[in-house]
Amino acid sequence: MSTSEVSTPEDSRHLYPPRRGGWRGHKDLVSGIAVFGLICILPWVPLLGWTSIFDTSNNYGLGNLAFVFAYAAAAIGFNLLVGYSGALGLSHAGLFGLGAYGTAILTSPKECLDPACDPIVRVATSGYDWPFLVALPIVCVAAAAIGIIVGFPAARLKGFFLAIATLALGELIITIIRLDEDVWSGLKSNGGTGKQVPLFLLPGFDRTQSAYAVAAASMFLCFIGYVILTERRLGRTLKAVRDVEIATGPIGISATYYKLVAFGLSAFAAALAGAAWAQNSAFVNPSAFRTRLLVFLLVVLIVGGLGRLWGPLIGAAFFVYLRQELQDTQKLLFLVLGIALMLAVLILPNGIASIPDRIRQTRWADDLRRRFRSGALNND
Amino acid sequence: MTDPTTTTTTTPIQTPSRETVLELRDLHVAFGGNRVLEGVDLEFKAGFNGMIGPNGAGKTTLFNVLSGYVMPSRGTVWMRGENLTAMSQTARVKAGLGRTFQSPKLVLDATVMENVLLGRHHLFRWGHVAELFFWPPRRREETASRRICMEMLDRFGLAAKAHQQAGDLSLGAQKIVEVCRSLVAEPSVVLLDEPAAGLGADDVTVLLSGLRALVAERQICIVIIEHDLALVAALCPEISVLHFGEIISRGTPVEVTSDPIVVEAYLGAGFELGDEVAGMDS
Amino acid sequence: MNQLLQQIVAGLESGSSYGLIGLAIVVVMKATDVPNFAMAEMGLVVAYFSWWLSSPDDGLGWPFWLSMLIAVVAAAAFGAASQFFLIRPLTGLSNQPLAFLVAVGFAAALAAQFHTRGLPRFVDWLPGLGGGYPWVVAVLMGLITAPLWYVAIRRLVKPLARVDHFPLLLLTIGLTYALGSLIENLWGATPQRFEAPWSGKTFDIGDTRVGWDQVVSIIAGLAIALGLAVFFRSRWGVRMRAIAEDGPTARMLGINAGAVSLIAWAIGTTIAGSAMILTTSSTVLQLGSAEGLILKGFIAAVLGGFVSLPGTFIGGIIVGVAEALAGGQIDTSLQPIVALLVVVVVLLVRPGGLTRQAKLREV
Repeated sequence: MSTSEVSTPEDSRHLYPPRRGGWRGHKDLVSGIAVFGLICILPWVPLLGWTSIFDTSNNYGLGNLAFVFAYAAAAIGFNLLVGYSGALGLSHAGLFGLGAYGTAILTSPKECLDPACDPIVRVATSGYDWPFLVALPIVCVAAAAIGIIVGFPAARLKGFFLAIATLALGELIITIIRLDEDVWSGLKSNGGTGKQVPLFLLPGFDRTQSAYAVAAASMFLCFIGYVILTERRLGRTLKAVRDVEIATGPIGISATYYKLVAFGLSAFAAALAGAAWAQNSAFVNPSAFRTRLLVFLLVVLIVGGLGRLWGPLIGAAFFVYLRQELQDTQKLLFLVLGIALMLAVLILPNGIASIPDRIRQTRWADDLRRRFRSGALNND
Repeated sequence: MTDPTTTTTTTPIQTPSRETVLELRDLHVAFGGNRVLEGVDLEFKAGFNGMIGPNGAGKTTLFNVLSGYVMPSRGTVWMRGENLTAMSQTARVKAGLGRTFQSPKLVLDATVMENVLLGRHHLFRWGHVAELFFWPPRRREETASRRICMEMLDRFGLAAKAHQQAGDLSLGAQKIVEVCRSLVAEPSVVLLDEPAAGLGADDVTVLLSGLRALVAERQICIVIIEHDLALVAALCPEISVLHFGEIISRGTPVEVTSDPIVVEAYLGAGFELGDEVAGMDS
Repeated sequence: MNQLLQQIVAGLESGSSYGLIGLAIVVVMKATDVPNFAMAEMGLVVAYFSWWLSSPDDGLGWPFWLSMLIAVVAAAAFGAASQFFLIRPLTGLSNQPLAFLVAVGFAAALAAQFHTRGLPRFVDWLPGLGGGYPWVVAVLMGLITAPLWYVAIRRLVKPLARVDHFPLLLLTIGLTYALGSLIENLWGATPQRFEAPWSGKTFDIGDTRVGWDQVVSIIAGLAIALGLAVFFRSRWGVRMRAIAEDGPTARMLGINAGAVSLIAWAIGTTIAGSAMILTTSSTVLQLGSAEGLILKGFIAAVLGGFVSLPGTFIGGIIVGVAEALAGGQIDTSLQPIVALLVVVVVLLVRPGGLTRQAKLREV
């Protein structure tokens, strides 16, 4: 308690939280570098070869990891919205689809007018023929704008009502995409597989490696953005909006503005992830982005760890692994996903990423600590 | 229990210039058929101003009107010549109005420093894009703000806890953190809603001495809702009494506590200011 | 003109099922504060059960009314059991039933897994392992793990003082998928025809052909909604309202919150089950039958503000009729959008749903 404390001397007052010296004080930075370094070398050094699913010496493993990164990128955006701002914005799947579809349409080559072209293939591949690196930022910014529009109801809606409204809006986005005449006829006549995605090839890499690189880069971007923003003023402001919204007015924080910011940023991430995901899939079909995808994203986020740094990546790895492992028995997949979600809520509300913390907080770990430390426990 | 011996007598400090900072004119607030405030005319001056009254009298509603949560059905609010009545909450903050709440509204899983920094929000010039790119002026601004927050925490003896989780603090400490948050915003007027309720004697001493020092330095206008009469009497040169939505008395503590209307409505016969120290209850 | 009437009737029928699912959701929400995303799926389980009881080819072939009765009773039991095993551990009451259930369930699932597929792929490289095991070995291996699950659940499932809606929503989403899988495993994935005494029979009003199943759905929906309104005036209904208003105080007054929760879930599941039986006997019984309905049910509940029962049912009807009319009169491709648009527009205009809810803001 503060009681009759005198002012502490100038030199022992830190304006920023004091860090332990050396690499232990920068745990996050070190682990970040380690993980991303690992990701960069994996295509050439298949360290995860012992798991056949993530074995990067073949395209199968590379592709799976690319999916992991894409889902993780989407989950990071989701994390910002639901974990940090506390807004139940469930339109994420729709925006993911927007990113995938948007880039596919914009980068597809123009309609093939050669009479030798198969009319079915012609429609499925027709687009505006923009370069990928131009289309990508434009689609992401457009998605951010739409995300902000979706977020407008957030100003007046709370909790569950917001969830329903955003869920409906996400579905609406997908439904509107399906209405697009070109797309629709392409879908119908292409055996339902959807729009073909032209692949962006990095020089020197083949298509799977390119997809891997794009996915890894997207995740990296989202990750960096998330870390920087949440460490700074944006992070604490979002937390204030989440926890003490009613007090934000007299502080001068516009809760509405920040909710919209969160919606916009998460939409950007979702679209980026969607575009990366599309690169790894041959076709994009609007039906793939409906509630089912949202549930997948929820599993990734919750099982991995809501509000945690590495939650999205862990959750994505878990999900992709499961999906591949249980590929032959689809019904088992949904059963396991369902149970995983239930268990996550019941046992590990903060996800797998919180396991180290949970262990640290148990009495057993406390006893261990006591034994290794001389003197009294650090009480407050 | 408060210790009024921080001042030598029960007559409060007379601040030299008592200019009117906040003015309420003919304020009426009604929720449906329930008339909460009726014809409230008040002037709050630089320094301490007390507001007392029984529970349900409308004191917190008054604060809610002032801070923009509730629209009055009639009447206006003026601060230093500016009409606040129609202003948004954010605009009021920029104009210099701050408040605290009966139960502290802090982000529990952030540190004390981060919570207090929230108060500086409207004073930051550089936006979030700047912080994404490690823009140096932004960093300097952040450090300067942190220094100000640390100084404020220091005034109230909480500097050592600056980097602890706000959720780990006692309720009393949390309330003081909230007061700090409202003060770092460089307000002209601060509304404190029962700041001493639930605080131990030591905390109250620290709180009051910190506030007194600030008032002496900066001529802030502080409006305090309290139930602890001795505290209010020791602190505020002017007290208003709110009773069922109406101001029934205004004046110095001695005047108010000897006003028969107030005695009848709120204090009860046989109330003596001197006795308050011993065993009062709200 | 006859097209219009047909569309309106179709809209009333679908709206009635939306409204019923919405009612089920609201009842459970009001009494236990749980947004049950699995409501429609639970209803589907009941519908499948009822179908199985009455189907002459694939099931027991019992008379329709008997199977419906049994299914309704089973629905109540199912709902109460769900609340008992899944929700109670979270709200502070014992997690023992859950631990027991999980131990048995996981042991059985693992036994099946060991029998058919052996150990999971990433342990393949352990020498000598892999591949399926004979039943005895598999069951033994499963049983060995059972105490582990039991202790784990007992230790790890912490009752939370305040359970937010979001985790509960996730929990019930998980339940939805688990139940879907259960249905598939028990009854297969092929769509089925669910024959009710009124299926397929129609009558004419002027030029319009109206199906008896539509009429039955609408009337049953209304009857259930009215029955619910009557129930809430009864002793148990009042208790339920009390718990919804102010749980702790109600408990202090001697109202058995546990019993109220069980009853609420039982009622909710019964309503959802009836709705699903009506819908699937009118259209088709298949795995995906619940998927679209749950969102529409929530939309109906939202329109009623999650508070008002008449508002919910009427909301459902409005959505159903609007859908049918928009699809019929304007363009069929609009149909999926209508419900979504309705809810978004309504929420924008009235953030608390269609019914007015006076809420004093506490500062």
